Amino acid sequence: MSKVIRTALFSLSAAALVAATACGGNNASPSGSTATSPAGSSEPAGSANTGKKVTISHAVGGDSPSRDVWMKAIGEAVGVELDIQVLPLEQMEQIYKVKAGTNDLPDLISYHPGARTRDDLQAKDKLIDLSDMPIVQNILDDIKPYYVEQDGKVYGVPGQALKFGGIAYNKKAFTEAGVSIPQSLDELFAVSEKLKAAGKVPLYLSAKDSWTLQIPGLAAFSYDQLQSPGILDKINTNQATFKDAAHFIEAFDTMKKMVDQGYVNSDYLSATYTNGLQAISEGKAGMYPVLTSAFSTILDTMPDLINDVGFFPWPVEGDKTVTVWPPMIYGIPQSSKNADAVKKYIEFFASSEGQKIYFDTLPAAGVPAYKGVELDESKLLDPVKEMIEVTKTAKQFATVDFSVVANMGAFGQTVQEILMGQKSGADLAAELSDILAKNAKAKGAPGF
Amino acid sequence: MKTRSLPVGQIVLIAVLSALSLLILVPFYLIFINSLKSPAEASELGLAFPSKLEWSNYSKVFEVADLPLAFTNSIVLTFSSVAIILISAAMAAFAIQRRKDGWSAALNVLVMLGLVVPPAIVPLYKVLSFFHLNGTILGVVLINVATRSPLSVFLANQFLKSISKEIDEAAIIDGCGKYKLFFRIVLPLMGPIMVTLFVFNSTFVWNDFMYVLYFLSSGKQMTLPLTMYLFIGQFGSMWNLVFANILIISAPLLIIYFFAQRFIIAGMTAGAIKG
Amino acid sequence: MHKLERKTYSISFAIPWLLIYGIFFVLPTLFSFYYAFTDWDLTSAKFSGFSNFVEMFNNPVFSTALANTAIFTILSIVLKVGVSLALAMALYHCIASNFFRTIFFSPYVLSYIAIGVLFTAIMHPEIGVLNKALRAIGLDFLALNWLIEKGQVIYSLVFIDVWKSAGFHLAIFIAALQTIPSDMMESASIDGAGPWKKFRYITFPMLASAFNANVIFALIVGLTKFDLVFVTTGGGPGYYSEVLKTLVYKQFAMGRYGLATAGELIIFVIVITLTVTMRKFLDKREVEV
Repeated sequence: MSKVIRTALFSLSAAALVAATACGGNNASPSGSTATSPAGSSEPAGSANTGKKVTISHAVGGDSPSRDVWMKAIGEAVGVELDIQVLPLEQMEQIYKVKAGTNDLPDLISYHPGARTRDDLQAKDKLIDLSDMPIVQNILDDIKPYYVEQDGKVYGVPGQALKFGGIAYNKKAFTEAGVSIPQSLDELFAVSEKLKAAGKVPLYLSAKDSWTLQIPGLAAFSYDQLQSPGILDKINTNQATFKDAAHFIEAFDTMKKMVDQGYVNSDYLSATYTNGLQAISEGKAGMYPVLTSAFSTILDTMPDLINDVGFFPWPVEGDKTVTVWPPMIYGIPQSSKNADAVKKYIEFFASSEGQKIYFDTLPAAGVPAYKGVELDESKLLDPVKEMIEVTKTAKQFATVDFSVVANMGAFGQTVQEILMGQKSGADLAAELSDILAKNAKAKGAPGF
Repeated sequence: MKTRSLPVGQIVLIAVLSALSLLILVPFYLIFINSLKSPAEASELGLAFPSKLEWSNYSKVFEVADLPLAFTNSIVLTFSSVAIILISAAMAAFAIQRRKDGWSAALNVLVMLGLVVPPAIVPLYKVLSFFHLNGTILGVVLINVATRSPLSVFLANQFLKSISKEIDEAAIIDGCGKYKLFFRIVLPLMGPIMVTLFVFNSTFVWNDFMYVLYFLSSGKQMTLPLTMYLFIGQFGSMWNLVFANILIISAPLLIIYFFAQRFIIAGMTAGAIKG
Repeated sequence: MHKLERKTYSISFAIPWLLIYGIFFVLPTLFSFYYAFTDWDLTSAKFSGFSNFVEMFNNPVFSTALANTAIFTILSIVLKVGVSLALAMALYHCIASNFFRTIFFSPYVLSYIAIGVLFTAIMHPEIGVLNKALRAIGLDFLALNWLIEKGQVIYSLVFIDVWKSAGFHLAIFIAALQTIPSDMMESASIDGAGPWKKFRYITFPMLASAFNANVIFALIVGLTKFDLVFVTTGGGPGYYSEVLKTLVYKQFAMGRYGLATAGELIIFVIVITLTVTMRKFLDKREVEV
């Protein structure tokens, strides 16, 4: 019997030897490995001028089956191959930061806009300035500050469509309950009462994915920006704090009130984001706070139900605002050896032709980030139409978590505490102010 | 084994163990049965038999992610990491356990450190980059070996205590060289622990996705756990697909384990006969 | 003989492992601890003394995380080692041991992602199999909010971890049991030793080193638990299941690398102190037995 073991172990050690020799081989010639040639390997394998197609390595966050389709189409149009590395959205920026430290970023990255990420990535030293690209002039004026620096430098251009934060609602459920879109928080409660009477979950919350709990407050913060102009700049220079953001605080207290009055799904603490999307699409729930990127996911997973879903901004009495999440940025690391090919790729993506491919493949993507791009009205999905309607009347502010001076971390866990009655919206505001102050200080931001 | 003469005791024992096994088997059954349901039936998360067996769930999972590629990568990564871990750890344990001097004491401390200290991602990245190994499978293999091997050295060390030094001495007197002694005599005797370590380490490496995420940089290097992580992020509410995905990814390890079992049994019987 | 021994057990056996381990683990790890004393953004590190440690200890969640880690560690050591030892003894005497061993080990091969998903389903308060089963047999009062409620979630996590890793500890016990010469048992039987005496005076002493190894592993794993908590509850709801590792990870995720490294160093000191103490205690006991 021990013979069997001996044979097994022998083959094992043989395998190890083979592996070890293979190591030696790889060490000697890094180009022999399947990896994209890392920065620093002697001669780049894919220099752009040969007749062979250039392969662009491209990191993206979160998976989506339709993405491969449009990316390939655009790649084909400009004659490049794409090597797409999908990273989980939550870990994406940490990975970039680590890779930036060793100049090992892929040829094309997409990252969140805002000073915080840009500083984290050390854009000045690590990314190529794209200000001479003509498409920069086409970026929508509202979101330009998120792409064009005050000194005119451009460390990346929009690589997606604009998305918004607010509430997704199920139109069939609303009709059944005989309610219309609430225009104030009082109406939100009235609508919830009627939805409950109609046997629906009025407001769906998915605390298991705690980031989804942040949306109402972030969406409501734009009312603070509307009503106390300059509040964001003051927060960023330590002259004000989140404690001064009344609507931000009220949004979280409102969620808690909804829970107390039985308007929220009873399993909200174990529910996930995908549960929420399902509930709102199937009409089991009436309302669900989301970013409008949710529509693309619904389209991917439950295409038959997409047109049952609609969208409205966080309801506060008076003039309406809506919080916009400026699109992820396409940036080209300075370490890229294929920068010219990547520029071509981006240029085509931003052109009306490229945008057409993008929006045809992703009809629920959102609002184009480039001027002069006309969406085919007849092809628009219902929730997207409503979203565009909202953006025509409501004043837009970019989300505060992209706009603060330093990282304030994820605060969904504290919102869980609010919902369970351990803390209040004011406590959260105080906590966030504290974290922001500490992180801004560690970063050396002026005023802290 | 003379226990055969106690049938009543055996029956009671088997009954108790069977009851306990349900704690394990029911969750596995839950995974399996729900992977064959329609989305609506699966969302009840129950144990009932599906009204119709949806084998197509499995092909759907295959469609969404490039599983064949991920499979190949996972297999290459796992087997080369585990092979190097096993051989290097067994050799190191041999030196550490048999020697009684400053070296072995110092190495013992190093092993303990490896059990306790977390790997530091960022400095590790710089080291890899220094050797031009970032973005290569080999780099991840070496990291797996470095971070996972202390446990194996430790366990092999413990096991070696039970193999008497008298065997070594007899072999040396017979004119055995040190390498022959280790590879031909001691290593075969370490069979049971080696198989155990093989199973432990394959599990670690196969299921890891952090290192893959940080240290590889191409879509072509995608591994199975990473596809599952991304898949659940998107299709998390489709329990049928999620469970199908879990089964697809766990099946190879379960098969390895069932297979390895036989060797463990072989080792056991060999010991018994010798006695 | 001494010289011959040194030659036979040549240190060259350890060199391949030492090289890989030294370069890809020891070096970067030691390197990283310096950063615990700095404000570090990955490119530049500004020396900041002990301020990271002060900030870590002053974190309002630190004491919760410490308490949860302690509960998790103590309970999981007792349960993992206790359950796996009982199973090992049962399997040792059972004729169908191979069959059951296969079953008990199988959860260990599941990844934590899979386990997080699986137990989220099983422990769902309303539709989960666990509560349905409890209600079906009339134990409604036991149908708890496993992964949601304060004072329950950390225990549920212990249960899940025991479910997953009892097979690991079992395998270590079984490997040790295989080294007990069967003639030892037989002669004990002939001498008229009962099962308890055989366990107390033969089996258990022979298992001592496996027992110690299991306790130490459970201790280290318990104190540094991350993956299970991260994928199952993320430390929530609120901070009910926050443990030291998840708290530290959140600092890393915020980009406070120096702070996170300080957190790792704190955990390291806790683990090394307890491990060394525990080892001393166990080794002493081993000698006594």
